[in-house]
Amino acid sequence: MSGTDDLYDARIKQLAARTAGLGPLEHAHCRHEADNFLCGDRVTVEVELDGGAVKRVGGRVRGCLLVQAAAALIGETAPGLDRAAAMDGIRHARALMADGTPATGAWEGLNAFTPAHGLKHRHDCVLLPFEALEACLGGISGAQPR
Amino acid sequence: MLSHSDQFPAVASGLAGTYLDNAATTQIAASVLARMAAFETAGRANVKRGIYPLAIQATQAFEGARAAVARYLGAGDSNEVVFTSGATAAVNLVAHGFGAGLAAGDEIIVGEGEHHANIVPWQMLRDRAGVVLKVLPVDDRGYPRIDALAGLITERTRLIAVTHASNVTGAVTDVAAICDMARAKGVRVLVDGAQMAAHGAVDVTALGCDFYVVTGHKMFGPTGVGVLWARAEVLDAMAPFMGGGEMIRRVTFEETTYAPPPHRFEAGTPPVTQAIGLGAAADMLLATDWPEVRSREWNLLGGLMDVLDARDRVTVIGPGADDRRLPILSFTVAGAHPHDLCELMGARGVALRGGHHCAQPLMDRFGVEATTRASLALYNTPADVDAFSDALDHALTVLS
Repeated sequence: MSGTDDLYDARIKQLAARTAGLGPLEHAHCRHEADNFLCGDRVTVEVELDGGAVKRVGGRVRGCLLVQAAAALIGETAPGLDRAAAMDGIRHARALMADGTPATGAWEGLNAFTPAHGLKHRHDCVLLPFEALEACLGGISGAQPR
Repeated sequence: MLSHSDQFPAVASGLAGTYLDNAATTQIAASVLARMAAFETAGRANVKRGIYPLAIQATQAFEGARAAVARYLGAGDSNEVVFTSGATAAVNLVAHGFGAGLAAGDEIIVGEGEHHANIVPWQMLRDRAGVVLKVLPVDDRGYPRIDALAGLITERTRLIAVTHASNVTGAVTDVAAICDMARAKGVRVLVDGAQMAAHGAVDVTALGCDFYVVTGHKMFGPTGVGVLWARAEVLDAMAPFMGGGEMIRRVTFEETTYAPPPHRFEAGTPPVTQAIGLGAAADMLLATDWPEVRSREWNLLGGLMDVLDARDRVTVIGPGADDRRLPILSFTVAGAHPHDLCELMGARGVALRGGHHCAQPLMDRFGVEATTRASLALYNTPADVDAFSDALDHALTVLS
């Protein structure tokens, strides 16, 4: 297996296969659409809150396997986290991409993307859903569903 | 006798790998490099103004390149050739220069299958001048629907902007038919020839268009240079886009008068070395046996299509093998995103392009987010088709 083949290992493919579980949310408190302007990939993230915590994550993913897998990871990891902890996902993702620093705590699942660290041209693929999540949660001023 | 691949250092050395991304950038020819190196090492001076021998030689080399490009494009006069920084810059030049003569409510018809470079400048003109954009749709194979053109042209139509060949599907537009209809209504036609120019000499006179744009890096020349060809009377009537040195007749603080074309549109020091390189590329292309090359490209395209036909889940976007087309092939594979295919096949040495190819409206037309594109040039060989086939199988296995 080459380094590139490692990128497409079973964990990533299994994650990506679960993207279909995201789907639109009926009672989302926030929604954000993020585009990768270089390739046209697009992620829409929707979040429903329960008090100060993320209850559900939904949305739509139009992108490569890495975008799909990262979005699915968010959908599985963020529920139950408070807003700050959920938004912290992007810090872990950026650190992993930038210098290979392993993710810890709730976002440990990000380490499945470690092979992407050495492929700078794919960092944006991993980060795109996290940027959408950050912008989505960062834009919430009240708690009324949309 | 040298083979075609021998004339391209990166191909001959193998460093370019299985290079099937020619619609993005072709490899540069040794003759181009040699002429640019000769200019930089033994002939470098600014052009158009100096009257010492080195400057005179430089100007001669620069104008010689203009003449070579004019020959390749079938232009009647080399003064109809304006050097730009690329095809995008050439379209923008027309959007500003020709666009300056348009009024709010005037109409421009743009092809649905255009590269963004032939869409966005017109949208920007719409936003600053109030012109109306209309879209000439493409059919299910990606060809502009010429049958729909008559219904789009009105007395306010001033320009039709279409590609000569799609950078996504390879579909070759019947430009002459469009020009015939346009001319009958007094409408100008701009043709994006960026893809076409790498596949044989163009005859702008026979096509009957008014503007034709090409770029050096897609026709075996350097980056950073392109060409706007326009009819002499059209250029004469056009306002300059950029102001500066080299493009004026006389400057006072009260008034500036402009040089005649093409210099009116070449403000500042032009990309001299690149233009000379582009001239060398045009000379090489003029000396190419195009029937032989086209026959070979056709066979290789057929080989690629056979590879795709033999795989499940593959859909080719665009014309069939026997249609009027260039060897540019876009396809999708159900369940395999183009970036993932390109990543995996690239790691196997096969250079492809995945994405929207700067043609998002066309992607929308075909209902896809992106495609994987293989594009051939005159140096590709049957071994490249074999490598493509092997790498595709590998990628599909990894992604399964």
